Amino acid sequence: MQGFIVRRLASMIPTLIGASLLVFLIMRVVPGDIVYALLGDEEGGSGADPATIAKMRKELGTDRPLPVQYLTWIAGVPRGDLGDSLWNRLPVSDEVATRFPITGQLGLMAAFFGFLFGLPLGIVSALKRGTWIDMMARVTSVFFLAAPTFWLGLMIIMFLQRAFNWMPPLGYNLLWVHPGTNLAQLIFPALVIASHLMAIVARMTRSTMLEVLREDYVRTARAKGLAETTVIIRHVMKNSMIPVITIVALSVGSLLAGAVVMERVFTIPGMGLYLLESITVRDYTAVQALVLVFALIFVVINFLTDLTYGWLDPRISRN
Amino acid sequence: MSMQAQQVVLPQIAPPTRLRRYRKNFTRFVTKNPLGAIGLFMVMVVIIMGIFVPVFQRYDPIDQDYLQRLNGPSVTHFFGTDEFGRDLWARIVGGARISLLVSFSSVAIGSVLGFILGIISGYFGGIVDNIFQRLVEVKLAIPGILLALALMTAFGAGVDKVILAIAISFVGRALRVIRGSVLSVKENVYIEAARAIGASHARIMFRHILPNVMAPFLIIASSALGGAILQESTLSFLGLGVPPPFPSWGRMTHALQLRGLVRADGPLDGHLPRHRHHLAGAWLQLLRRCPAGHLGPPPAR
Repeated sequence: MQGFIVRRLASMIPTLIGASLLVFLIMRVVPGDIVYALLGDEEGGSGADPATIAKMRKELGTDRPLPVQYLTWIAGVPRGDLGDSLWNRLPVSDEVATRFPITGQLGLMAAFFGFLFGLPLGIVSALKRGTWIDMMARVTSVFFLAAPTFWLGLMIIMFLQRAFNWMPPLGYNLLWVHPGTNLAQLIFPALVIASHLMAIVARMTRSTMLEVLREDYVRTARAKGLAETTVIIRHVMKNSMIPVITIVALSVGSLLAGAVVMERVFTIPGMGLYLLESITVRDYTAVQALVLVFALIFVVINFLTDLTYGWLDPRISRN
Repeated sequence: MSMQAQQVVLPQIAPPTRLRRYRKNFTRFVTKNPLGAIGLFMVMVVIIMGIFVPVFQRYDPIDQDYLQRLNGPSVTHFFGTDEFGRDLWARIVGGARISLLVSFSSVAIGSVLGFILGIISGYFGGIVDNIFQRLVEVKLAIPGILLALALMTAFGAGVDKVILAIAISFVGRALRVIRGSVLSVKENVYIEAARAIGASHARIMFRHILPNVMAPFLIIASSALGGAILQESTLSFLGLGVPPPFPSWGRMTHALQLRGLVRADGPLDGHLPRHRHHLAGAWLQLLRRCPAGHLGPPPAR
């Protein structure tokens, strides 16, 4: 098991280096020069004084060759230095540190609700296969899979506003300082993100459970007189979980994307909103840092998923 | 003489049987898979709307009429008008075209690229495969919409750039799925036979392997279509997708957040584009499983 963890951790490093390189390069194919963009002079033709431009280039470090720029940036990352924002010249990592818990809480709540609703929906759907209950469950999951998150979010805001003349309070309050306000702010966006995850979990649970239900050991378990609930929980559920967890790990990306969109819709000052604000003001260093942070979260979650495989099916971690 | 008679009769009989077979297949499809049939119907509605846009609209979607701003639904403007006095019905219908254009072209570019690279990666194996797989891992580490956001920040606005940004986010997944299927297909005896009679690598890959990985390809390509529509609208909603003045469902929704939400008596534009839109997504999702059944054995469930 330890060897498995170490190998898996080691394989994350090249992936993250590749991702950082990719983001860095995307941010450097910006047509023209970052300095011109900052000075609001896209064409680079007239306007700004060459001395100012040269000075700014030196300040930002864009006068140095690309590999040097990349290495200076990436060398700081392990120390927690993600570079300085072009917009206000403050370290991006400070901003990330204050905003990370917000997005983290949102993501955790969404994951919790997604499983809370998705698993029972998928289980019921598989056990009642072909009935109208199954049909309803499948229509529900297709609906939530297809509904864009921003649409659902806006519908909820509109509904709350028109029906109860109430809107989630703006901003963010810490959970342990104002628990009520905090939940009022985050519960609806979390539910919207969760609806998508729920649909994925329900569909995957249904199809793998149907497969497992046909297995010989399930018939054996029934034949030896186990209660149906025991058969389902001990034999069917445990063996259906690996594909479900795989697909959920792969959809963590859509969870993160959902968080970004929901932070915009509900104006929650998390990392997603920071990313969108940085894009609006063309703060390239912040964008590249944030995309890297999101990639890091994604990779770490996938790593944790692999660990749960080892726990669910000990054969996996051995080879 | 009798030969001639047969030749005349045969073509008359052939079409009805074929037609009957199609009809029988279709009836079976509708009764066996009602959800899929509803999906097919809805997708057809959107596609027809997208193709025959001018037939459905009385106004140009980008024509502004400042005397008719923010009107509610009326006989002339079915869904009312927006803040620039543009006809919302025309914009919704026009949005179908943009949505379909962006999603179909991005999926076509992205999946076909992933398809070809996946075949190459799976067929050659070894170092080639290793390099491709590491690259895909890097790409998959960045969630699709974030990569698209980063690309749009770098490229700037434009329909072609939206298509490219969304296409890139599909390459990795298609590559991985196709590679997996190729790995199992290439173990077949007929591949060995083809190699034994001296077929070139290109011929084996594109004549022998390609048709056999077509089914998984169509499944992921069709499921990617729904995703592409969602991505386009999300990007547009965030202000980084289809640029104004083109009608886009995502941006129309964003306009609602800027204005419509604070106006309790606003026009209908808030509900309709989004409603229509998510239906299109649902339809494609429903239709997703349909093509698989008609090509080769169904995937193991």
